[in-house]
Amino acid sequence: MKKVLVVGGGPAGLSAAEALAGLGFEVYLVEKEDKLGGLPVKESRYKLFPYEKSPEELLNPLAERVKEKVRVFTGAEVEAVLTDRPPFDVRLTNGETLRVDALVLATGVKSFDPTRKGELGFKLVNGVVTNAQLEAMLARNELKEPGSVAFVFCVGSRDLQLGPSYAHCCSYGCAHAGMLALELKRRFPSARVYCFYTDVRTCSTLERRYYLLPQREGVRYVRGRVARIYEQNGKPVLKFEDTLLGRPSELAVDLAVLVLGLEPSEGTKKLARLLSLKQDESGFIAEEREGVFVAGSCKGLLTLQEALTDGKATALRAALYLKGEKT
Amino acid sequence: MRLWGLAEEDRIVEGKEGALILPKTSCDCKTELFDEITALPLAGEALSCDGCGVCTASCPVAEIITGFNPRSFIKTLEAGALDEVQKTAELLWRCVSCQACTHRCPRGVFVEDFLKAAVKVLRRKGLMEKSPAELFDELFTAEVLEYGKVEPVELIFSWLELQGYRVVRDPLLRKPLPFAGEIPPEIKKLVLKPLKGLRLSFVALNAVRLLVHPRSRNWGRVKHVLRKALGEV
Amino acid sequence: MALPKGMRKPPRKGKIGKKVAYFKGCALEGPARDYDASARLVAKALGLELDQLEDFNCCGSLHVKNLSFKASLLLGARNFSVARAQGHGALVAPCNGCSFALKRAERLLSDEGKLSELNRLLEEAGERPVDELPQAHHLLEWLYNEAGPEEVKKNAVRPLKGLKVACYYGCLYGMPRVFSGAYPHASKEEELAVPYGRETADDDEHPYYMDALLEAAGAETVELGPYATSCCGSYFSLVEPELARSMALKVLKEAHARGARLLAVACPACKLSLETALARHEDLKLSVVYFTQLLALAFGHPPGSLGLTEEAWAG
Repeated sequence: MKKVLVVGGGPAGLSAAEALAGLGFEVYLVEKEDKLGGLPVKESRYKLFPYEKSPEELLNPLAERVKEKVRVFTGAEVEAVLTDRPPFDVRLTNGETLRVDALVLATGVKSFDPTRKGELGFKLVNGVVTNAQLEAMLARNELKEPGSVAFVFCVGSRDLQLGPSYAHCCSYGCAHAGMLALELKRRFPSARVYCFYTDVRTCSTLERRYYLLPQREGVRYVRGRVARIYEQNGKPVLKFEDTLLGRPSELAVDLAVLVLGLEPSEGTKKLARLLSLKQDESGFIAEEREGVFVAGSCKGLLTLQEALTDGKATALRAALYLKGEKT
Repeated sequence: MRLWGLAEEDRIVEGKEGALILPKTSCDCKTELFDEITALPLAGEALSCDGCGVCTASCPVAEIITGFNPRSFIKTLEAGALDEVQKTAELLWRCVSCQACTHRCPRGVFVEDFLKAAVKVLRRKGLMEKSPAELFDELFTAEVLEYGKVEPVELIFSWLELQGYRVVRDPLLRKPLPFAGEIPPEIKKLVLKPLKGLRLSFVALNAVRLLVHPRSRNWGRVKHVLRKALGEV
Repeated sequence: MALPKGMRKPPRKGKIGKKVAYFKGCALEGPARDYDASARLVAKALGLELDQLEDFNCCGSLHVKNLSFKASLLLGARNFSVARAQGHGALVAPCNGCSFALKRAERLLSDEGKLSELNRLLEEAGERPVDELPQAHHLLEWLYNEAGPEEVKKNAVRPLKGLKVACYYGCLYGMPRVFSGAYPHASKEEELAVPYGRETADDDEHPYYMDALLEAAGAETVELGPYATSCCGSYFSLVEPELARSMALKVLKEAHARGARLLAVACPACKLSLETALARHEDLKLSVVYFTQLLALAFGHPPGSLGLTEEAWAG
């Protein structure tokens, strides 16, 4: 029986592994973290759009199904790929060496480190949090009613000041912030909620739910990128220009939420190196080669929905290859 | 309806040729202005501007002078609408070159360089008067061209003279005498204040320096090449 | 605001070198002689060496570049040529304007073909072409990295106890990062991926080198918030004095409100602008001093020898 190793146990990796096992292959899955589920689980996200369910609700059943049919190694990484061509001899950090006929890479992305954007005051200014932190607060019901909240879009994305590899759009932030803004507005109807944007990219069906609806429920969208956040009287003060009015302004809020960008994970960069795969300007994997298939966000950012579908699609491509069909 | 900022051939003009109906464009547009500006060194990055407003939000002059708005300057010049460009031209020269805009621009635009390039092109086209800032740039550069070095006190007094203040110079070497003449009080105070604390040797050395303008070696030949470079953008 | 202690980088010794070319600049040859004298005393006490460039030319500041890009690079190239002739790989400038102009020239000359183009001009002018681009740094960056707070502490025989100082860095000290190379939070790998990122550069938005050195000298530093790097307006001290004054006043008022007695600066142009504004606002009980004057004082030099007036020092 042909064997496949799926690298990465996030949404794309899990759905690829499930599909491959269902097609009758012997599947291994290696995941760096102790728990399956990838970024949403690791960062304990509150709700994943467009399903608006928690990562556990959404991904645990999938992870359980995978565990039944697939040999899963958690807490381990790929250490070396010993052969250049298939079959691949892959050594894992837990000492295991596997011989597999194909590799599916689903090593995913990580969140931007906001301390690199010093002007936005993360860890320096009281009341500046990341979107993941806000989610954790919402999940645990720890958030006290705020007077005002500002979402700061594009932190660590579309930003060449961080280097040439930060030109890409995170593709989830606008919708995600819209979802959280709406949630805040519903929990605390008298709170003033602002979204500071350059462009709102709630593509396709996300537009209605995460841009139009928040606007209708009183979320104020301000067109201007936040240049600086500093502390005044213990509160974050945002400096920005309302570009539609042409006015530079300042706004003091109780909570400033940084909507973090996503970038290739360490695992993605490592696998690209080990397999000498081309990476694009942002570091995403830009090519596949014989026996190596790439799934999910490690080749460019996808929403959760897209990642789950892409995992399956990649599994099918790998299956066709393993059955000797041209793909 | 305003449809300014579009290329001439793409603009919508209502009515038949010769009919007395005004075009929907509100004014004259010079779209080639932006091309000329962005052809200058470093200014070309402005093609990447997405109008996010970080430059304006970072700008210390925008906080003080209403209407000073680097983002809007870029976009106005890109559109080339002459009535708007005219308003821009009156404000543009007040940029203090602090670089905060360039420092933070997420698209990597050299905003400050763009603004200075815009001044250059607007001046060349006769769309802008010579500003005091340009006058000072010229004074400064002339001193560098002449000597290779600048003598700050001399520079200050030359500027004040240019502004119509009465500066007294010694008859022999034509050097300014800081104690005499009518100059703004805070500048006089400033020139005199450090003398209280300075060591005598400092004062003496400064006086000598004022009399004999410092000069870089081999400057005669460098001057020649520098003058040529100055003429070339 | 200055980056809090836990987030600061330790000095990176040996990256710039103990002995460097000293680009004094026009102001330190003239009215800012006190800055020059104290900078030398401090460097010497810390076991570092400033080798003065005898034959430098004006850096062009912010003015020459407004008239001609090429001329501004020629001025930079000639200075690099002089530094290389004295055998240096690094230049240190004590003025924000000079360090900006030199870093800018260094960065722009490193673009392909630019250096050889300027070298042709240098040869035409009878000057030595630049064989290799030296790195330009601000004096403060050099002192922090090559000596650092620990060395300052060791040498502070008369700690500046009870002295409340606001550290003002000014705009051009770290801005724009494309020239200053300030990408401090990047990991090692990311730092290398950023073109022109420089590990010796101060924090890009919350500089702390001056705070760290003066704290080590025993002073109590006062937080200036966003005003630590906001522009003092010196560009327009003469041309648009009112605009310059309102910009300088923002800094002065903040320092005063936070209870500072002294405002430490690292640039003669900043000092000029701030003092011009102070001359009209004597209610703000503040004195502007160079950070090197305070360090030299802590190292045991008498205020008089540093050009510090009684009122600046004793309050």
